[in-house]
This record gives sequence, structure tokens and C-alpha cells, in this order.
Amino acid sequence: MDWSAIGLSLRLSALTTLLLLILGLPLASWLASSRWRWKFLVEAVVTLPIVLPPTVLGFYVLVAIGPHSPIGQAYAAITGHGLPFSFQGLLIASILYSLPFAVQPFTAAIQAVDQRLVEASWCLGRGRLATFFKVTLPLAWPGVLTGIVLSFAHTLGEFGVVLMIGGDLAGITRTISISIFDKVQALDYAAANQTAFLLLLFSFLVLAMTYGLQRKGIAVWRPR
Amino acid sequence: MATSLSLHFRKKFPKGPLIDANLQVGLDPPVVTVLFGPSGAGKTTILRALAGLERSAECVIRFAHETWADEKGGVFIPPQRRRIGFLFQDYALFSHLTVAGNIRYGLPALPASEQRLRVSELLQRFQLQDVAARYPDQLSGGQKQRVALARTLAPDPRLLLLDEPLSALDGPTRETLRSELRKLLTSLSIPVLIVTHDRVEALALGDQVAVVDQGRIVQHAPVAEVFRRPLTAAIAKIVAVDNVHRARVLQADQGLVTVAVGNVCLMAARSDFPSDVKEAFVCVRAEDVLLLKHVETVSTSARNQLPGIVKSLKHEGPMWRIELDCGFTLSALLTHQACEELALKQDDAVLALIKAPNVHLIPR
Repeated sequence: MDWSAIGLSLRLSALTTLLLLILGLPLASWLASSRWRWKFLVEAVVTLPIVLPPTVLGFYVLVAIGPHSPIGQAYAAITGHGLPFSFQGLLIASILYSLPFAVQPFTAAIQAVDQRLVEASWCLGRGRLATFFKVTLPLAWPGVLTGIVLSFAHTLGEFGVVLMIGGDLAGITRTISISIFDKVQALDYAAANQTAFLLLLFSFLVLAMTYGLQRKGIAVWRPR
Repeated sequence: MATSLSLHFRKKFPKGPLIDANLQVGLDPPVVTVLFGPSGAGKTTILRALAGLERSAECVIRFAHETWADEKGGVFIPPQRRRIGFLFQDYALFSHLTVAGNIRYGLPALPASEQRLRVSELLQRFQLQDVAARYPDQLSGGQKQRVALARTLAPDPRLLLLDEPLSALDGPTRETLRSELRKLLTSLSIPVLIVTHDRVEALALGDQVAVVDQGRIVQHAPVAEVFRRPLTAAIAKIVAVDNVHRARVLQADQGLVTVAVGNVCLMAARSDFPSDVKEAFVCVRAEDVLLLKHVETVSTSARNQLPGIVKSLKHEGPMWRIELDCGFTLSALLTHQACEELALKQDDAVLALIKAPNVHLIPR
């Protein structure tokens, strides 16, 4: 079993999920309440990673953070090393790749919170931020949890984007799925099976838990 | 000039009516104003505008010396800073918080000890001590209403806005809570606005009524006046009560309640009249008033026999509306034929008969 790959994948997934929570909640609450005319464009962009082949997404992220892009140059100037083939580069790509898996359930859950409860909170003197944390978030929590679980599981299993951005550097960018691919290339099916089975089991448990939550009457995943 | 609350609100809803409301309510002394009208007339929109939940480019709201909204002048005070209490139609209780948690929600500025004090005070006042630790879905309709009221009153609002406060309740509970609510509202001594489409509620709860029809406030006057003297035929249709009079309750016994309208006594059949109520509105439909002429003494089963003088006769479709002076103004509705047979004219002396079950009482 490639413990270093498993550790790396867990670390990447945890950090991606945490950052998606921080970035995704404000984005989702904006999507849930905004009546902006061009909102559908933002929704389309957020959902893109679901339909794009990971290689396409990975390719453009690679171009965007590469040494010839302003982002890549700025990052290199500050930190002294480039983003491609680094853990940080992988993190940025993972966040983009898993964005819809966090933002869609978040948005659906926030939308499902009765607007009158929000208004009741305002009339009781509570500001928008307090209302979000005291009313919206607790009531939307099952949906938010679904988003967290899905982004974690999705990041854990990603392959194409990782390969495009991170390559296959042991301990830096070699995630579980890359490790399985390596084992199969080396015809070491037993080792590949061990890791693959672990990932299968984990993914199944995660989804079983998610749908179990939904069965309790909390519809949070609305396919578009 | 005494201080007042004034509202000008104009908004066209894409698929709804044009709301064009002007309202002025005196604040000293504070009164209970009922926004009354058919559903869809725009009552709730007006209430939401006062709370700051509904905005329009054409909106001016002044509360005493403060300007809450003057959108053309770039002024808009958000709901949080208006210090109002808003009771939602189905109460909008926070399902993830207990009864005590709901009541405490609007008190974050107070130190914890004072919060506890205020919450226990309100729990006691609304008889909710026993359910303080329960969640909203474990409460009865009446309890939910009391929790919502307690939560709304906790931060000490300067203006209370109630949207259909009794409509979510079933019949018997609604009857009991109606007179309790009136007592509560008069004890608060803050201005109150209530939205309702229920006549009985309007009569039972309000000091004044503002009739809302198709987005406009078409009549605004004391309760009895609006229901007795609607300004137009359209308003008469909306309020649909012919005779409304303030009355004192003299006696209630064996299903008969005796009340006095001025110096005239009336009997009403009502078995469940609350014994502690001393003030009421008497309502009689004009169709239920019978008229007799040229009679010295009469024996009839009707409990109410009121001698009166014909003050006026008016055509109303196929009917005649006769206004009598029986010590108070009583309006009767007669067919054309009946009117001719009696040969009624102004200043005739008549006897008006009303059966006790047709005298409707609304406790205050």
C-alpha cells in the first residue's frame, strides 16, 4: 500500500474542502439570493468542471498558472518557485475541479431555507452576517455537509487534472489514483487492487452517507 | 401637530396589482390600526414596506421625527435599525432553536444575565414556562402564536406589525386568542398595525380600520364608523356589515347575553360568551330586521322589539334600505313590495324586531 500517496491525497482533499467551504459559502449564498441578470453565466462557469474532460480543465489551469502567465509569474516572484508540478498548483486545480460539487449543494440548501426566517431575523435586529450564521447555515447544514462530503470524495479520486498539473512526483503530487495507475503500469495488480479497493470502499461509504442524509427529507442535490 | 407614522408607497408588480398606498397613523396616543381588505389587495405589501422588507423607488416613510425611507432622497433604514416587531402569518419560528432560544434571539446586545431575565419574564407572561425547552414542531398552534408574539416583543419594539396573526389557528383556538390578543395589544401602549381579511378580527382587534382595495387605502376611520358608514358602494361590499355598534355587556346567562347600546337593551343568543368580557361590538344584518307598523302591543317570539322612527328610505337594487332611529341608528333592508304594503315614509313610527340569534356579538 502506498501510504505516502494516501496521506498526500487526504491532505489535498482536506485542504481543498476547507478552501471550498470558505470560498463556496459566500458564492452559494450570492447565487441563492441574487437577481442579477447575468447570474446564469456565473452558474454556467461554476458547473463547467462537471462536463469538461479533466484534461481540458487541467490544460487551461496549467496555462493559467504556468511560467508565462501573469499569475504564474507573480507567484514565482513572491515564493521563488513555480506553481506547476507543486502541491500548491494541485490545490488550485482541485478547487476549480471540485467547485460544482461544493457550490451546487450549498446553493440548493441555502435556497431551501424559508426567506421569511431570514426576514424575521432582520426584523429582530440581526444583521446579514449574523443571520447567515445563526439561521441560514444551521438550517442549511445537511446540504452544506453533503457539499463537503462530495468535494472531499471527488478530490480524493481525481486523476486527469492531477496528471496534467502535478505530474507524478512521489510525496509531492503522486495522489492515490496516480499511484494505482503506476502500479498497473508496473503490472503489480495486487498492490493496485489494495489501494483501488480502499478508494472504492471509501467512495461508497461517502455516497451512502450522503443519500442517507437526503432520505431524511433533506433534498440537497438538485441535478440541473 | 401630534407625532405620526406616515407612509407613501407606490410600486407596480410585474404580474400583480399596482400598489399606491398613503397612510397616516397618529402615534400619541398609540392606536391599533387594522389594514382590512380582500386577499390580494396589497395589505401585506404595505406592512412589509413599513418593516423595510419591501422597497420601491417611490417610497417615503416617516416615523415620528425619523425618516425610515425616502428612496428618492437616498434614505433607506434597513429593518434591523427600525426597531419594529413583525409577526409573520405562519409565525416563522426558528425550527432549530428552542422556545427560549427563539425568544432570546433578538436580544444579543444585552448581557447574558439580563437576557435570561427578559426571557423568563416573557415565558411567564405568555404562559410558556413549561415548554421553554421544546422546539417549535412540538408546540400547538396557540403555543406557536404565543412564542412568536413573545419573540417579537422581546427587543421592545416601537411599532408592532402583525400579518394575519390568527389565520394559522383553528376555529376554537382563534376565538379564545382573539380577545386575549386585544387585551395584550391595548396593554402594550405602542402603535400596532394588523393585516386581516376577517371582519370579526377587524372589529375585535382594531381601534381604527384602513380599508385596502386594489392597492389603495380607500377609507380610514374608527372601526365602528367604517363598518357602519362605508364611504362607497365598493367599500360597503368589502366590509359587508350593516349595523355595528359599540355595546356594554350587562348580563350573560343561560345562553342569552344582554347588552346595552346607549340606553337601549339588546339580547343576543350566544352560549359561549366569555364571562369576563365587558365591552363588545353588536352586529346585525339589515336583512334580519323585521318592521311592524300601527301596532300598540305585540306578542312575538322575537326577543328584541325596538320602537323607532323612520329617518330615511333609499333604493338599493331591488331592495329598500330603511334607516331607523331606535336610540341608535338601525338599518333595515326590505323588499319593494313590503315597503309598499307598509306605506313607509319618513318620520313614521315603527317597531323593529330582531331575533336574538341574529344579534351577533364580538367581544373586545
